[in-house]
Amino acid sequence: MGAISLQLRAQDQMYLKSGKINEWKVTAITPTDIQGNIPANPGVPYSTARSNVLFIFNRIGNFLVIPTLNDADPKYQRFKDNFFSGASDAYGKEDRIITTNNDIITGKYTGVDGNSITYTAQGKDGKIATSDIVVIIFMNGDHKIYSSTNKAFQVLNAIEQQFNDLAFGTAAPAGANGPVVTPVAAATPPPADDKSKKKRGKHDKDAPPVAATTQPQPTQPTPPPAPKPDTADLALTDDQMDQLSAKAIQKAKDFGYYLQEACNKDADMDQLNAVIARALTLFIDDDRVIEVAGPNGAKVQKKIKDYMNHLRFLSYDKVTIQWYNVQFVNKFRKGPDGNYYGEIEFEQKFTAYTGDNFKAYGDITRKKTEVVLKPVTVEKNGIAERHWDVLLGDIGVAEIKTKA
Amino acid sequence: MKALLVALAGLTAVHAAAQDNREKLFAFEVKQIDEFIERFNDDSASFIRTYIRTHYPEVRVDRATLVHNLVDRSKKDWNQPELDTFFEEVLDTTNPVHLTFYSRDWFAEAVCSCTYEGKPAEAVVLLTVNTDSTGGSKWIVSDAWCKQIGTPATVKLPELPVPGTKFLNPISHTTNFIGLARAFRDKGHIRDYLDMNFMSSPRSLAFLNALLDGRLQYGYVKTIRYHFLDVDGWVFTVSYFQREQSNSGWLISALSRVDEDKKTEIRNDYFR
Repeated sequence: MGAISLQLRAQDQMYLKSGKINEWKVTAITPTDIQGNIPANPGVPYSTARSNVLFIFNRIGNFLVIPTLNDADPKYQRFKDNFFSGASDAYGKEDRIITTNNDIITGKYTGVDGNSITYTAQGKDGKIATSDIVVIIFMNGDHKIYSSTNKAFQVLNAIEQQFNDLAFGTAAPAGANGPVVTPVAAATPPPADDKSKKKRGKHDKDAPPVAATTQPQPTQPTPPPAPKPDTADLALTDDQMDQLSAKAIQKAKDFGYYLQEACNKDADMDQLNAVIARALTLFIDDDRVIEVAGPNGAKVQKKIKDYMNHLRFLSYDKVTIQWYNVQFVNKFRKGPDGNYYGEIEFEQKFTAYTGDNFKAYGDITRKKTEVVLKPVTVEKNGIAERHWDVLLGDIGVAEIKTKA
Repeated sequence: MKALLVALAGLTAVHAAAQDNREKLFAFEVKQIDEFIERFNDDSASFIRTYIRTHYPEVRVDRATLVHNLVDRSKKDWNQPELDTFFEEVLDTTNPVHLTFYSRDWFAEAVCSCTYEGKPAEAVVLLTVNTDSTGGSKWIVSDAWCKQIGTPATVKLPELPVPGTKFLNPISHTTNFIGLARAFRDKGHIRDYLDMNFMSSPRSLAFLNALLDGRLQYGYVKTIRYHFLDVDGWVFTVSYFQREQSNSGWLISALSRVDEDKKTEIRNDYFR
């Protein structure tokens, strides 16, 4: 579990009393506020009063209940420390199902059966109604809340101590009292007999007892750390962005030109192949597709190379393709790989002729092409230099405007 | 109010003059959902603001004008008092409401053409925007279903490879999620494109199993709608209206007053 894999997970989710959920990277919890930032707007610090918040789940499945957080109590300091820097013993290995009866089931979610989910825990299959589930914390750190936010708050508050002991180990020396025991007692535990009945609830009869696990667990594969984007140290200024946008428009126009060339029925195969090869250098890879409007509004996706080859064999004497109104209409957005993604729109006029320049078919389609900014390494005088380049991506049909 | 009327009159005049001009219609059309969000927020760098500044420097347009024009004006059965209340709350100058692309409280609903056991079928795929701590973002599939497959009582989680690093890029929506075809074909990496809501929903697991065993062949996206839960007390839907009018493109097609409990239900059912 490297730092990178943690970094690249989704944001912390802050469940508010209002019922809303804020997606932040929480950086600090002061006696009065919760502070953080939103990666999409990293320069702006955000904060909200603690009184607005019920609980927070972080990106690796740790949670912290806020209204009962007592800063003077070392126990709560431990919860905070675990939240910010701990890694649950189940992370990357097992899922945890937290029930409305304040039980914590550690095992593996295996599927759905009617209104229940199925799981295995301690080698046995189990089943639990979704109405009896408050939250599942999945092994990859994601979580899914099944109950109302208020119910989730009540249960998470009741089990917070036991969850922390189970997931991160107790503050006391380990091993003194054997395995951490779940099910977890609620704040006011019912008598033992009742509790055992309650624990079963709507669970399947064969459901295993709620897992008590500090036993060694079989290691399951952990998601591999995502490759570090190689753009981290490569600046991209607004001026560069503008220049690259202009370059993207030029590349889109170039592709329009190559399409026109590919329609030339007088060209031989070598010339056509050369045109296609040059056109493909404009794209991020050979797997990119162009969407073509078919009959009855159906859309067909063809790889760029196949589409260009296909143009030559259309059963018309002459085909012309013109691109115009090429415009950049979208801000670039950063992807998880560190590259930036934008979009260009243009109109394509397709005209097909037979015989003596008789126009047999024509249409105008508005198309959109994805544009990718990515770093490339170019060698100059024996020195490798990295800089941003712009390449085209998939091309889609926005609309068929008119028959031309 | 006077300022608003003047602005509306100015804009209408601009619209009238632009009727036969494709370039102007292109400018006024809300061409993509990003542009809808920009106009809703009155982003000073929005495409429409830049266009008006450049071509009609004498025209003054305020946020109210822009937001009022984000509603499908061809729909005759709007509940006008409800619409007015919505505008009032969104445009409240002391507590204005804004939208963000990176929110998890909106989602895309893509109606897709496919074949199921060799026969034409239709599937619905829901997608949300997922952000990471580096500022990167991607679209991720949070639910999917196909009427023909149905929802079997028991669905086993299929054995899938450990998630890797494939993704639908953050502007995939602009090309009507062309990348979905590649994602659904790429069975070795399909888990990369799915979130935990998908993996815990019986109907989407049934959809996934049908894709994996070849009963379901994905085709292409036919239509898209976006549903926003970001505005307190409201849910609204944005649909695409293709027409040669200035009130065209991505516009609000439905609006409902809902409480937070209902919103929680929607979130839990579809995308969280």
